[in-house]
Amino acid sequence: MSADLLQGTLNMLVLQVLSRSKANGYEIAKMIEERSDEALRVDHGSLYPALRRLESSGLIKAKWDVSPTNRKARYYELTPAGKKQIEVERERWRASAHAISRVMRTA
Amino acid sequence: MPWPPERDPIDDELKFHFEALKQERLDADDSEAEAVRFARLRLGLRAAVEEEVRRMSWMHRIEMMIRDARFAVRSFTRHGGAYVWATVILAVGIGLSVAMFSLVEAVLLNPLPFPNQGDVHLIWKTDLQVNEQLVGELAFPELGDLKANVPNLESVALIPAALYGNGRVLQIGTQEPVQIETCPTTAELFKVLKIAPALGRDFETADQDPGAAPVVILSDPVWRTQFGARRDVVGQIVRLNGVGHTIIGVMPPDASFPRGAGLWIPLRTELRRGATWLVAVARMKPGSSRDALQRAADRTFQLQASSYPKEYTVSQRAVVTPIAEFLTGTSRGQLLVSLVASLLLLVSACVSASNLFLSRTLVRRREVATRVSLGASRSQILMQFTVEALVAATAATLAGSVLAAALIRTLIRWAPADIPRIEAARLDFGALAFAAVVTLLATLACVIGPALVLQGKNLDAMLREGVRTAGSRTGQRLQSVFLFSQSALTVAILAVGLLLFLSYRVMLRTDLGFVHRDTMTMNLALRGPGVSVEVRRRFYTELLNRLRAAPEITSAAAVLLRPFEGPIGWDSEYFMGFEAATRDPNHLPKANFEVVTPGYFATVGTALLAGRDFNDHDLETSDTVAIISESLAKRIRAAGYDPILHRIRVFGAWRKIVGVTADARYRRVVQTADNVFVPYLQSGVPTNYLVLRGHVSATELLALVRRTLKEVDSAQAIAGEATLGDLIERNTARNRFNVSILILFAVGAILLASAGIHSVVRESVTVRAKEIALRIALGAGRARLVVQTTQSALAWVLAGEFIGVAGAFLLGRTAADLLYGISPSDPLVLASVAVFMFAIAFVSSMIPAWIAAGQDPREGLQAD
Repeated sequence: MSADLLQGTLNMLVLQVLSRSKANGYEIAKMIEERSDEALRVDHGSLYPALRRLESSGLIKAKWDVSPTNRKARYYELTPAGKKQIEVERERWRASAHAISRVMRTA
Repeated sequence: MPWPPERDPIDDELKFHFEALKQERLDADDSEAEAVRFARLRLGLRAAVEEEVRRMSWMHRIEMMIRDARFAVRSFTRHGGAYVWATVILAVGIGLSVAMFSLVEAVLLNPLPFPNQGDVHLIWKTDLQVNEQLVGELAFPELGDLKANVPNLESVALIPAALYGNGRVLQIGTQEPVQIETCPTTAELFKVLKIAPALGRDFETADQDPGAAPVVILSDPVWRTQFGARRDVVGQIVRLNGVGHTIIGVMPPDASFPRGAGLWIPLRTELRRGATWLVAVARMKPGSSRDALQRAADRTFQLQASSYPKEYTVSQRAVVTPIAEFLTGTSRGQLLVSLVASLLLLVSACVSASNLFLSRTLVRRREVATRVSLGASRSQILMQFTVEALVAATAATLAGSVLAAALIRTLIRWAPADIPRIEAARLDFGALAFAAVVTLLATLACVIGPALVLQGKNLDAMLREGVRTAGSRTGQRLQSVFLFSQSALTVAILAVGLLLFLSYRVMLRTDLGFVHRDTMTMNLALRGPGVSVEVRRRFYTELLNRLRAAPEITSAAAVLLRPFEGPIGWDSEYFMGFEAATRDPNHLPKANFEVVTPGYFATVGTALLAGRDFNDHDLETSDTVAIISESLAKRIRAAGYDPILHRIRVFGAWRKIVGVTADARYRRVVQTADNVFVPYLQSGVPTNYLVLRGHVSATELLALVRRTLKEVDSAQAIAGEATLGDLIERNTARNRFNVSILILFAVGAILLASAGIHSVVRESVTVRAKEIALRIALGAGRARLVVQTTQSALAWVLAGEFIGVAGAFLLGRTAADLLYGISPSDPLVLASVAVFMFAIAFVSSMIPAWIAAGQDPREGLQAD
């Protein structure tokens, strides 16, 4: 898989996670791992550049809050543009997943 | 994007993340060391992550900017036409306004070469007599009055109110003599200006003594042209009007005050209070105001009225003028008017460009809506528009600056010589800073339209609107405002330009009373000791006889003051024989007084309507005679007398009228005058100018005059050689300059307006392509469609024209003194400008509408 797609996929996954609720970096990484039954192992460090990219594209925004462990953590949530974007991404993903699975079936 | 960028909180964030990972393992009962190792492994090298995030945020920012720029370039190539237009329009507006700004800066804003110029003022008098505002000059003793009564005066000097008549014939050794403008002044002039001589010494009070040795200070140009810039000139003796003067100093290049002075000599102490021909130049101590000086000077002149009731009236007041204003004089108002006109044009250009950008935004609504739906924020889109506008405005500023540089050079060449310091105008730092500010404004103007359309707009509606045919209402309203204001501006500039042009044409066609514009004229005022009335008369008789004898010369004569030498002149009171008993001697009319030799009228081409010219028999011993102009003759005829042989009292003597000439103008082209001429042998007033015609070139004529002059009196020199045509040209140069500038503006304004209207209609038919196609398909006539698509734009233009005409009327009224022979409310001018503007608007809007209405409806319906 090309780096571009990987990056795009990570962005999509982050947006998807945040579409449920706001989360801090640690929670985002954990949630991606848990939901994929640990199949997708996220390099926690590489999460942050992706978060920054989404933030400066105006898709997510961040503010400081208190974590369940009662510590100060930076929480990310979707902006309205981000909410629209995840719809587009989901649609695109559905379409390409559908296409790929059809290709795989006929093989 | 926040600016300045905040510190990225990545390290705090990573610390939290690290702790959370560690806690996860500790909760699973791992040892501290194991937990730390796990967290390190999962999170990666913290420093590396921090580094990457930091680089990321910067790179991302730059990436975004590159993307916007690339987007701008891409849409530029796609919608190129409109953006090129917008850039050209802006360039024209910026070029004109930067050029005007440079001229204004050179003449009005640049500081004079005098330190603390704000403290230097000129002082003279005004006296409101029964019905006339008289300008009063000062006499030498008033220097003492000012020094005694004005507090906070640092230094003060007297100079002549006009340099005219103060020329000196300079003779260096055996060189050819030359006439040079000379300023007699009291000792402190250069202390007032705070300029020290570049060589030698300044004047001292002792130099003013009537018995002191004559000294002279040279100006830089005279030092360079006459003395070859030799540094050993100080101490050298030269002859001025035949009298030896010691050179005591040379001034630096920028010390040109009063303007045109080539030499300065001490003004000799003079006790008569009646000899008023001077003005004072005063430097106030720092911190004292002009008002304080005005009050103190008024008080001084009031004191004079009580101390010397015979010499002064109680109604005299002080006129205090800052030196900067004094030097720029009337050019001030005219340059400012031009600057305002160019700024109006710039506003018009910005409006036009803004309009084009707005039109493009309307056309690109769907693109915008799509981008918004893809997650672009409103500010991002605005950012994109800003980048686009900035690209266009920057390109326009560059092109405009090149245009401005060319314009400045042309305008300097066109400018009349009496606008001081205009030759110093160039595209300098100030002008470029001005251009940069203008660029910023232009960019803003181009972003405002799109921003207003974007602002508070429901993007879904925008998207739908794009799909459907109706135009954006906000956008259309804005465009209407643009059309309205632009047509108002254009009509105003056009009307004022046309008024000035017509008035200039009237000026050129006015019968000035001189048929022979090729007549060569020159100053030949006799200077030197021993020049008496007799000597002068003998000199002129001898010179003229020799010149007339030359086969190349057809006629030659002399006159006191040649026509159009400036606003100066000999105005003298007169009254006729028939009104001798009834005229109040305190309120006599004035006429232009001239002393002439026989043959003067034939030389300059002023027709003799009745009677005879002066002749060689009009001697001192014969009957004193005069020739009057037709305007005066009419008054005599109106009273029932024949002007010929009627009597006129002028310059303190009764004279018999022997001739009547056509009316001729002497002061200004636009100023009629009553003229009284007397023969040179019957007046103590000198003839100072030579006039002559011949059938050889001007250069050969002048060479002939110089040769003849050398034979008659080798110590005299001619100056100010010019044909009558040149003099008239100089007198109207200011008007020509104003007209040229305004025509330039008018052409620019028309171009901008027609481009603006054209673009509005073109965009509107593009947006409504489908609707139009539908109507064509349904059988609507082409003409009707054209009317429907253009009527609202034309209605706005028409409404703007009304305001423009009203504005032009008001502008014309305030600038009425610039107009000649035409009324600012001339209905024909206003109507023709309005009709012309409408015709331009009609054609510009008709073309795109006509093309759109002639399209194949299938294409329009399939598009989209």
